Formats: sequence, structure tokens, C-alpha cells
Amino acid sequence: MSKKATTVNPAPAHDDVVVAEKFQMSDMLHKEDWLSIWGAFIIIAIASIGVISGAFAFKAGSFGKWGDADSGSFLKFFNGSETCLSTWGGILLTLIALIVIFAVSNQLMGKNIAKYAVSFLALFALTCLVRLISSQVTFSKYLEYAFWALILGLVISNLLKVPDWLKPAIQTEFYIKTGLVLMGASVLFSNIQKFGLYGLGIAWAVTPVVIIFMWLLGTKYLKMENKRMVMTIAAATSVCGTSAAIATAAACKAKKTDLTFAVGISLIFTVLMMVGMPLFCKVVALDPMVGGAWIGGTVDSTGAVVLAGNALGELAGQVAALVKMIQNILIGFVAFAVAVFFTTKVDKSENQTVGASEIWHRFPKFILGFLGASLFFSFVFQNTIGVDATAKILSDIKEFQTWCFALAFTCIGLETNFKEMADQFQGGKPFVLYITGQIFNLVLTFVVAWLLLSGRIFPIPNITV
Amino acid sequence: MKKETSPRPSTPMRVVCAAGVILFVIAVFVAVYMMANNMGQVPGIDFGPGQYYYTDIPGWQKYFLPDHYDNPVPLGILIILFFAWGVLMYRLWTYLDQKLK
Repeated sequence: MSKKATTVNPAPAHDDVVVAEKFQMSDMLHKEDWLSIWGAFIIIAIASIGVISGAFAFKAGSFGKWGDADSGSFLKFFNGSETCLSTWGGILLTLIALIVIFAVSNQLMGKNIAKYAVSFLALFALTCLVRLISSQVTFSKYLEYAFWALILGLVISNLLKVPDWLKPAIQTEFYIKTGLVLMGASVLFSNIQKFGLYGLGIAWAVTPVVIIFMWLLGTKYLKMENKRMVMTIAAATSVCGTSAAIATAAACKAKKTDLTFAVGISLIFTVLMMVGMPLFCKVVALDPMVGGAWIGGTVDSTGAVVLAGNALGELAGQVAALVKMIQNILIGFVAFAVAVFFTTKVDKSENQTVGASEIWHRFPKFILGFLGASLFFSFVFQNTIGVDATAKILSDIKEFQTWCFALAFTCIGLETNFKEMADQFQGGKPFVLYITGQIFNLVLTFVVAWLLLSGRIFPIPNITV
Repeated sequence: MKKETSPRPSTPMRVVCAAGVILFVIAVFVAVYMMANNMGQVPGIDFGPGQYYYTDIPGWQKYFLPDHYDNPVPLGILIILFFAWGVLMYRLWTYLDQKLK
């Protein structure tokens, strides 16, 4: 029987995704999924050795904030001052670490290492510009770097032409997968107990129900043919915005435009919800604990959750953070379930049975790296080197994760043209899906938060702030 | 192979989609207005939606590391409940996906 995927939702063609051929041990040294795991593990290992030994700090560089009276002008990064030297020193270390890891990986994948290195330098320079713009004091609060990366990439690819010599470094999936494995380390499963049954009830009871609702709405009622886009938008809405969208898009092999849509819509509505929800809670005099849990369970971006929660008071801010923390845990498990679902249900011919070995052959392997890093940090590192040392390692590797995602979003912009985006518009169905799904999410999360935290049915938990 | 083409959407569906697009356009303008006027900020907090993941937040340890709730339920029970609900929902998802055409 043919093992080809269905014609309606074919996985995007990609030579290096481990789905088309039978697994061989040599794949672990030559395929993108595995190399993303090893690359991320090397960064985690060096950062961990640095923290545990106390001998050095293996930390990626970034631009500090600029653009107001306190932080000064962006010229401080170019005037030879101490800030200038330390900033560029950190960025140079980042460049060296990433170019070594990605260039060697490309060599192992059989690509031309010299051409890759040259094009990566240019891509990294563009990404530096993205990160500089997104560090502006107002931009950094409201718009994540992904937005500026997409804008810059889209401008270059649609107004100018992406030169051929730059193309070897445009490897969106590779950077996303490496960034996701790095992110896995910070998904601490042990945090599930931070808010006990209350947190589990609000964050975990609602999330899969919203995903199922949005899946059925998108694929059965709206009849969206692009099921990968439905899944990516559903995960962004129900779990935690951009990070969940990135992980899910990679897990179901969504197109770059699918991820762009999901991130763009989520970004706009996060701003509205961050401002509107605390105002609404105050107008209806909602209990701060219920309001905080409601915000934590529905607002997409974690930064916006903490901010909106604190607009209701410290208690609400803490409850919002607790609920969001548990939602952050869900990213890996939702991505895993989505990968299995697409492997066994979507990417198969009608009447075809997909056995365990076929699931393994098709399964996006980098998710194993994501879950492995998460479980290792949750249950081994935290219990052996302690919470503070673990947090220090996570802080050190966080900027590498950000660079990987910033590189990926710059690549997405460079690879996307406006016609392709217009093709994915589908008469506006993605907007209907997001808005309806988010309204359902708001109602359901409110009901569950009220049932658990209003004190009418269950005792009110004692939260210290 | 014959290329798959989308069926022409019904009139109610086109109205729903048009409403979705209008709502989104309004949302974009409102969001830009909110950002331009620095709305939603809280004194003492120097971050926002731009920090989409928890480790992006400056000083994230302050919000996410300390224990703010004395959880009486053993971790094992929470893990069992977590996976039980996950498996149940996955089965419901696959069942409904097959059942509803």
C-alpha cells in the first residue's frame, strides 16, 4: 500500500525532514532533526559546565534597551564605550558558537560548509538589526522580535530580491528545532505542583478542550483545507501564543505562512486582552484570584499575563503567573500529541493503518530532544544541582534560544512573498477561527476559574505574595 | 492528479468570514492605538507582550521560582491526573475527528 500522504494536506516538501525514508542509525549524524538535538545539547552542556564549575559563563549576547532618557540612544552600541564593547563581545561569542554548530551540522548533512558560513554571516547581521530594533524601549514591551524579523525579511524578499548567495543559510526549520530543544530545558515539569489541583484544573482541563473545539471548528465547520494552519492557530490560542505556535507548527510541519498568521493574530489580540481584561475585571468587580486565573489561562504572551495580572493587584498577578507557568509546561506535550495525531491521522492515505514502526519513521525526532531536555532539567538537574543553579543555566541558554528563533523568523520573512500569504487568507477563515476560538477559551476558562477559585464550591487556596 | 479546489463558500459563511476580517482590522487599529499611547502599563513593571516566554521576562526568577502556594497533593497524583486527562482528551479528539465529517 502506498505510504504517500494525502493530497489535501501534504507535508511541505523538505529534503531533510526525517519522514520519507526508513530510519537508520546514521540518520542521527546526518539528519536535521537529530543534529538540532545535538547542537542544542552542546550549548546546554557548555552552559551547565560553566555554571556548575563556576569557571566561566557561556551566555549569548544581546542589545540592552535604548530609546528613552534612562536607557539612552542606540548610539551607545557604536561609540566604543564599555556598553558597546560588552554588547558586541557577547554577540561575537554568540556568532562563533552558532556558526560552528550550524556549519558543522551542514557539513554533516552533506552541504557546502564554506557557502553556508558566508551566508550565515549575512543572515546573522540581518538578525542583529532585528534585535537592535526590537530592543527599543517601547517596541520591546509590546512587540516581540518575531514581528520585526518578519517585517524586515518580508521587505527584503518582496521589494528587493534575496540573493542566491544568501540562500544556503535560510534554514528556518533547523533554527526552530534547535531553539525548541533549548526551550525544552526551561519547560520544568516539576512546576505542575506549584498551584496544585487548582492550577491543573484551570490550565490543563481547559487547554485540550479548546484545541479540540478549534480543530473541529476549523476543519469541519469552516472547512479549512489547510489543517496545519488550523492546528497552529489552535495551539497559539489555547496554550501560550508564539512559543506554542512555533512548537506545534514544527510538530505538524506547517508552512511558514501558517506560523506567520498564528503569530501575527496572537500578537494583535494579546495587546487587546492585556489592556482590556484587567479593565473588565475591575468594572465587574471580579475577585482578584478569579481574575488573575482567567488572565493567566487566556492571555497568550507570558509577559502580558504577568503585566495584566499585576494591573489587578499583586495577588492576581501571582495567580496569573502560576497558571501561565503550568500552561508553559504543556507546550512539549501538546507538540508531541500533535505530531502523533498528524502522523497517524492526517498524513496517511485513506484506509491506511499506521503501525508503531511507521510512526517512529515519520515522527519529528527533535520533539524527543525537547522532552528529554525538559525531563532532565525537571527531575535530574533541579534535584541534584539545586533550583538556583538550574535557574542560572536557564538564564544563560535563554539568549541562544532567542537568537535561534530570531534567525528562524528572519528566514521566514525572507522566504515569504505577499502572494503566498494572500493564498493562505482563505476568505478570512483564519481570523474567524482565532476570534471564535478565543471567545470560547475566554468563556470556558472563566467558568472553570470561577468554579475552582470563587470559594462557592472549593476552598479558596492560600497564596502568599 | 486532479488538483483539489476549494468549494465556493456559502453566503452565510462569506458573511461570517467578512465579519472576521472586519473585526481583525478593527483589532489592529485598536492595538496600534493602545501601543502608541503606552496603555496597559503598570508602574514598576518594565515588560509586556514582547516577552512572550517566561524566561524572556527580566528577573523571571522573582515571579516563577519561589513557592507561593503550599500544595497538599502529592506530585505523583498530579502527574497521573495530567496524563489521564491528556490521554482521555486525545482519544476524544481522534474519535470526534473521525465521527464528524
